[in-house]
Amino acid sequence: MRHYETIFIVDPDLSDEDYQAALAKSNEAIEKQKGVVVKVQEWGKQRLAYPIKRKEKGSYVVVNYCGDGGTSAELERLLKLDDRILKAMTVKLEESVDPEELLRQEKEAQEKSASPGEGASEEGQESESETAESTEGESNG
Amino acid sequence: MARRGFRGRRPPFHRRKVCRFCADSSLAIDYKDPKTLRYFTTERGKIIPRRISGNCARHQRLLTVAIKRARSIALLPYTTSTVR
Repeated sequence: MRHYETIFIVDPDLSDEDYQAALAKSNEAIEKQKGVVVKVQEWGKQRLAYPIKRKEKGSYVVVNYCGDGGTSAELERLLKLDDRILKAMTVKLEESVDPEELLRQEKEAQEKSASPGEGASEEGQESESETAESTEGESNG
Repeated sequence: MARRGFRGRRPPFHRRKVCRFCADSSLAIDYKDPKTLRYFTTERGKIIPRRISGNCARHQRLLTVAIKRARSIALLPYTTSTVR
């Protein structure tokens, strides 16, 4: 299975429910495509470097998951269709990984997160093996 | 012999530049980390060339990709001349 990371920006003016619904939808889509969600990070509302759809802010969500090409393609398609998503981008982190191994690592990292500097070393490894396959989802012109 | 080309004038000032990423292995290049990436762009948002920043070829390559990714997801500006 491939290891992917999709980062998308959710409309900041949504109610909490709508926001959660948008998140749940993406997770559902991954699981429906036989993918495994490893980690979901919510960065909260952040200022955008440039306005998208006339919005100056956006809620960032980073989803780390495993799956095959169909999984990421389907997720991207859904994100593009969704009005609540301002922009999305998928990056392939690794060509072949064992999802269970990743889940285990994630669990360990979480247990360790009581002590600071949790994800630092892990992320270093990821960027090493990053292949240049980034797709840019522009939801609006 | 290196001086010969600079008759009278002072030879250009050189400082030994080291790639920051090679020197500090804890410094990771990640498109999700705009703070680090911003250091390698000008105020206008352009990527600082290798001859100025002193990065090694490998890290400059990784950095370029990271900055472009960050731009595409609005973590870094393409340019600052728009709005603001």
